[in-house]
Amino acid sequence: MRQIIAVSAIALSLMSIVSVRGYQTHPQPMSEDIDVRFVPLQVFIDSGPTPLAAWQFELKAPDDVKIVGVENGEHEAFAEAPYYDPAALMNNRIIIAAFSTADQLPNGKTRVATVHLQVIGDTEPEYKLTLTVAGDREGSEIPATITYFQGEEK
Amino acid sequence: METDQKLIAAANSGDSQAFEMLYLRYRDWVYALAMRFTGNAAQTADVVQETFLYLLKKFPGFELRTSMKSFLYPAVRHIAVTIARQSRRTMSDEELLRQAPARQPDVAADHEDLAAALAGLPPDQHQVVLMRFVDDMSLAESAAALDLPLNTIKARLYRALQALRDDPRTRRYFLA
Amino acid sequence: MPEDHEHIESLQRRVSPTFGKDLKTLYSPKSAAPGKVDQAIVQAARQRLTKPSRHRLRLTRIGAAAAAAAVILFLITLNVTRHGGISDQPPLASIPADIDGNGRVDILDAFKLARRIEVTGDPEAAWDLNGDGRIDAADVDLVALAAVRLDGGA
Repeated sequence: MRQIIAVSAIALSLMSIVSVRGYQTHPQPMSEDIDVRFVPLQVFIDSGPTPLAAWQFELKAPDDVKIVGVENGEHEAFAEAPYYDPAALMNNRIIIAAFSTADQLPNGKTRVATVHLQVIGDTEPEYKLTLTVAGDREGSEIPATITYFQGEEK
Repeated sequence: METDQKLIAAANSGDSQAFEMLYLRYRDWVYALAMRFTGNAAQTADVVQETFLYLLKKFPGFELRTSMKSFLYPAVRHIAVTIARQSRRTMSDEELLRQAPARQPDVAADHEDLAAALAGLPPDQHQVVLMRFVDDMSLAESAAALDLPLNTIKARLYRALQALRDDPRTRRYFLA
Repeated sequence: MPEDHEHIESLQRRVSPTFGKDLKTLYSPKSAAPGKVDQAIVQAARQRLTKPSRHRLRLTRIGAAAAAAAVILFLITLNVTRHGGISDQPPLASIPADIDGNGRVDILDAFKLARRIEVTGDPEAAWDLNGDGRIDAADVDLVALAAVRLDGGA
C-alpha cells in the first residue's frame, strides 16, 4: 500500500512535469503556421562477409529535429523493434541497438533500423551517426560501416 | 514502438505529440487506400487530411474498440466518396468527359495479367483481396471494417482465391 | 458454404508471397501525402490537444485516489520489455551490466548474456540482475536497456 502511494506520488509529480514540459515545448501561439514535416531516416550497416549478430549506433540530429519513432530492420533476424531509451523520443539524440541469436543472419549491407524524424523548416538537416559496435555470432567485435539516407526506402 | 492504445491514451490526456505519432504511423497507409478510391493525388491529399481531422475530433475521449485499420478503413472510404462526389459536382460536363478513368492503377507490363484477372472478380471479392494482400488487414479486421460477419469475408476471399488459382493468368501465384 | 470455411486457411497457405508483393507494387501510389497535410494535422492536433490550463485544472479536480488509480493503470500498461520503458527494476546504474568485463556496457553484453543462457542453460548466479531468482530474458533486457540509456544509466 505504501509502495502504491509512493509510486502514485512520484507519477503525479511526473505527470505535472510532463504537462508543464508539454506546454513549454510548444510556446509559440497556436495559430502560427508551423512548417513541419515527417521524414524517415533509413540506417544501414555493412559488415562485409561476416554475418551481423549485434549492432549499436548513436544518432545525433540538429536541435530542431525531433525523433518520433523507431522501426525494425529489414532482415528477419532483426524483425523485432530494436532497443532504445524512450526518453529519446521527441529529443534529438538516440542510441539504438539490437542483437539476434538466430541461425540466419544478414551480411553485407542491411537496413538495421528506420528512425522517424520530425523536421521543422525547409533545410535538409545533417545528422551525426556513430556506429558504437558491431558483433558476430560469437559476440566478437567486427569491423563494419554505417550509412544512412533520408526518405522512403528505395 | 508504443502501441496504438498507448498513443491513444496519451492523446486522450492531451498529448498532441502522441496523436502526431499515430498520424505518422497510419498516414501512408491511409494515403495508399485513399488513392485507390479517388485515383488522383489532389483529392487523395484532401481525404488524408479530412480523415485525420475526423479522428482528431474524437479526442479527448476516444475509445478504440477495434484495430486502427478497421476504424480508419470505412472513414477513408466514406470521405473519399464524399470528396469525389463534390468534385464531380463542381466540374463542368466538359471536364468530366475529359477526366481519365480514376480507379485503375498505372499498370506495369509484367503486372497486366494480374490487374486484368483482378478486374474480372466481382467487386466484393476484389475488395477483400485488396484488403488482405495490399492493406495487410486480417480477415477479422476486414470484417470489422466492412461491418460484415467474419464468415462472409472468408467466403468472399475463398471464392476470389479459387478464381485466381483457376485463372491461367494468375495460376503462377499459387503453390502446388 | 461450410466447405469454404474449412478450406480457406488451406488455400491461403498456398498463395505465394509474390502475390502480395506484386499486388502491393500494382497499387503502390506514385505520390505521397504532401507536407502541407502534415502541417495541417500537426497544427490542428496542437490546437486541440495541447491546452495546459485545462490539464492543470483537470489534475486539481481529480481526487488523490482517482489519480493513484489512473497512474497505476498507466504504469501497468507500460510494457517493460525490449522496447524500453519505465520499470520498477533496480536502477540501471546499480546493476553489473558489463557482462564481458571489458569496461563498457553495450549491446554485446546483452548478446553474450543471451547466448550464455541459450547455449549453456547454466548461467552464473551473478547475472540474476533483477533479483527475481531467475536468469532469463528479463535480465538480458536490463543489460540492453543499460546499453542504450541516454544518461549512461545514471
